[in-house]
Amino acid sequence: MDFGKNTDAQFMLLAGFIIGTGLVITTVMLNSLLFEGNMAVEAGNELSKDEIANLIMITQDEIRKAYKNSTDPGQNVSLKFNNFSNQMQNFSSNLSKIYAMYGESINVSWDIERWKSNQYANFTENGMAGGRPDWSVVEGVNASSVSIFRFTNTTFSITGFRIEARNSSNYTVWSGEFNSSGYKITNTTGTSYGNVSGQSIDLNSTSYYFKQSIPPGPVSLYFINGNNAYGKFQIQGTANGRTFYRERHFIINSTLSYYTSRLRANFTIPFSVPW
Amino acid sequence: MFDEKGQLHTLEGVASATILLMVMIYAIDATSMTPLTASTSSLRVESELQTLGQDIFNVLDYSEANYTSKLKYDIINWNGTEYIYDGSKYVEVGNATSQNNLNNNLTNILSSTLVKQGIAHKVELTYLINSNNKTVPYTGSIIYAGAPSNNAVIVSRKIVLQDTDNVAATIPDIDPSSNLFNIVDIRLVMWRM
Repeated sequence: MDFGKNTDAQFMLLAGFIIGTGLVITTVMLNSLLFEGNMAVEAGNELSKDEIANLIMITQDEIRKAYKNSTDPGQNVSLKFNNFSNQMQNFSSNLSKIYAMYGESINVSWDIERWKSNQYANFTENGMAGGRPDWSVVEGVNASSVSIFRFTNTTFSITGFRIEARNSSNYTVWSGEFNSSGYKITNTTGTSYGNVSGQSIDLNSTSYYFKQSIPPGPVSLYFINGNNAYGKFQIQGTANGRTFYRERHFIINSTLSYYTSRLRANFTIPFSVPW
Repeated sequence: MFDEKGQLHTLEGVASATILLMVMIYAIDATSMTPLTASTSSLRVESELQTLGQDIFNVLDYSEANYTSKLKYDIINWNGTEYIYDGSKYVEVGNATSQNNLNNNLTNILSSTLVKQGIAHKVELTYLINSNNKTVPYTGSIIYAGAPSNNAVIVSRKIVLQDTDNVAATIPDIDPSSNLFNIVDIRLVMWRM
């Protein structure tokens, strides 16, 4: 055998090396292909949950501001609906100019029929009849600081609506139950009954023992069976060292329409006013 | 004529060239990671930055009923000056010796989050102006930090200003006929250095 001239083994080694290299290159290319193929193309152009939340928040703020501006003392009552709609119209048209920078289109519309016909909000969490009936209105309240605790234009069903003040141990230190025939107040010293005169209830008045009977320490105010009542409520005082405001008159539905070249979304949300 | 040496040399050349090519690609990939380089790992970095930026805005833009959020407060009080981070504070661009540093809710949270993690950032504000009887967007810079990298992440937050907010003179009232003052879009641009 002529070992000096036989190159078969060299060929085999080279072929093996080239096949191995080819396999590595093919695998890397296939990996890149699969990776790119599964990338969400233009996913960044879709509306993220943060953008939706921001859009809802600024619409809510604007509806509440427009309602407040048009109903503030000193404003022309007969023009309140026009003033509200004018401000909302300006908001909608200017907002679309901001969204246009991103190649997006937005339209905001609103429905004030409930307001026009004095259909007050339910005392549920979102103000709608089907909303959550039992909910926490405000927590950490210093009961003695509550300067306004008022219900007006209220209607209670026969089955009743209840307000509870619970202390930090979740123990109910004061509760008021209201139905179509009267009220029942329960506190740490006993129970009292009475009739609701007219449609206005001031819980800060002595009849309801709200301030007088709640011991020192923060309490949380809860609405229970809020679907059994509707009207206006207003609570103001100090909670966690800061002044708080809770007030609700009506529900204004707003429809937000969002468009891009690839996506179209409409969502209608009930907003309570004034807060 | 029938010698296989030529064929062998050709194959050896191909193999050598392939090895050299792979070494060069590896060397380039390993050494050219600059702030402007896109890489597969940036997808995860971008996602983290996106979450961090949104969290910053979520914290700053929360407010109780009838209160102004910290972010809105900063926008209302912005005087139109552009600032840059000098390593310890946000100083006026072109006037670093001035004592008019930017020190507000936004810079406090940026200093304790992005600065501590070495994340470059800039903040821009777009609002509407009336120009030639048209309402058009105008962008100003609050915090400048040069040109961002290809992997920069942008998070934005829109805020509506009212006449009653007493906005500083920088942002104009685009609608004197109603209480709507202006709509601003604040953008936080972040990138890894």
